Amino acid sequence: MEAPVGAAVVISAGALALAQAELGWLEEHFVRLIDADRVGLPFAALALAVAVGIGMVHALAPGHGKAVIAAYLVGSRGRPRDALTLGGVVAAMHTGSVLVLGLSLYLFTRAAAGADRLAPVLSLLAGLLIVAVGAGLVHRQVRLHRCAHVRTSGERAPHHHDHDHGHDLPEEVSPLSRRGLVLLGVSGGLLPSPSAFLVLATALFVGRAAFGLLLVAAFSVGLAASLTAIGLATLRGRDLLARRAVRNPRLARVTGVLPLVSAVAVLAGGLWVTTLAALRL
Amino acid sequence: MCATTLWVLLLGASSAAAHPFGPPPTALVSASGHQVVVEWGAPTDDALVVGMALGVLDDTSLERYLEGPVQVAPPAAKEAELSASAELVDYLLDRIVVTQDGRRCDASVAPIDSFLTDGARVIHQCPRPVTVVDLRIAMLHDVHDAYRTFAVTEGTGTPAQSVFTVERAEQRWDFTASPASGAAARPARRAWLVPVLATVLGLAGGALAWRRRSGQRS
Repeated sequence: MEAPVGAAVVISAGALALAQAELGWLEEHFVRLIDADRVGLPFAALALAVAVGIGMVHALAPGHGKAVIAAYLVGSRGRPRDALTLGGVVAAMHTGSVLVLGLSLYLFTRAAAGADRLAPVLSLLAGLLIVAVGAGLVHRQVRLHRCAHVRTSGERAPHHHDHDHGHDLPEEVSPLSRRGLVLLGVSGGLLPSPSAFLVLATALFVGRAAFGLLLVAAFSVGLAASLTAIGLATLRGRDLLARRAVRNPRLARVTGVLPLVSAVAVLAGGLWVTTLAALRL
Repeated sequence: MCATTLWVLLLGASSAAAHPFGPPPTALVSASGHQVVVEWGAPTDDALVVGMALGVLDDTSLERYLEGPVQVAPPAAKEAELSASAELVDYLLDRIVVTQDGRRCDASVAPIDSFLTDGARVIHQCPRPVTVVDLRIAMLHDVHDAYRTFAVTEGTGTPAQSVFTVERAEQRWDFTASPASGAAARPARRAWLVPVLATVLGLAGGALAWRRRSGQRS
């Protein structure tokens, strides 16, 4: 198991370093796409493909809640389609968020100098959403653990209980999953990428709103593709661990508490983001 | 995913926004009689960059403002020094220029209370009544060529709004006060309707499709 995990860590670290090193350069070129003098169909098609690629690389840099998404998928016993949904919600939210901020600059240019004060507010909101999702996950995991504990004790010493403590809680279809997925997706896309914001604002100012929106949507699709891929990779890793845990009792103990640990990680991550944002208000 | 990796990624998530990408500098342009007034303002981080580039503010000013858990602005005395500095006035006069018939209009900078908060007001006095002039706004273009100023006209003017990039730092601005030019400018300000409608419809369609699929599954 060590080799694939090691390779994954090296590849992830490499991709992260590359993303951080090249991000400024890529973002500059992304913004320049909207500055082109003439936009024909071939250029537009190429520009959209480039925007998707830049969005994918952008997602690898810090931000957009990758760690929280990964932890959520483990903590909520997520399925591959949950990772796809999360990516989709992040893309939609990111496009909407860029649009709202771009329009704000366009319509209220006089007040735009204060726009940098908006970022901590959005971060605070994103952090609070993560806290809400994390708290829900922890609550659910604690209930599941209690149920499991009661079931285990029950097997050894049967007892009667008539209170409802969620024995019928379905593990495959999480009651929190839909709400949690949407909230996390919203949180991940709430804070617009600065370059995407500049692209749309420029597009609005120079009368290329439709092309600008397409570029931002393509960028968001790329962003979502990377987040979804990270989510799918996380689920694959979780399943790999679970299969090995069948033959390894120590590993089984680890994988048994992994959802709870992940749920706590989501909550802690939300608190961290919220605290940092509150300090910068 | 191991806990350490989780935390490394999570801690990284709080890093400051990339620079110069983010809320951009803006300019309000107005003309009256012989005068063209350009009010240039920027978010605090970009205004700090101006002060650093001029050597008035410490090189770490931006880092201290952006990178720490709490935004640390320069001391009030330092900000006052920047706002009153001759370097800032010279820079503004060099970077914000109005030309009429190929001749540069005389310019002055109104007293600056707080450059970081309010920006600056550059007043150009042209030889003839202002109609068509060439406007150059190149603030921060010497620091990074991704900087751009988003400008809008106050009152009548064509274009009603524009973006001053490194490639298009100088643009022709028409302040002729005719109803036609004002009307021509207005439809462009409604350009926002297209992306708003497209996004709202797209989001609504996506949400409906998702709900329908979820409904079928359950």
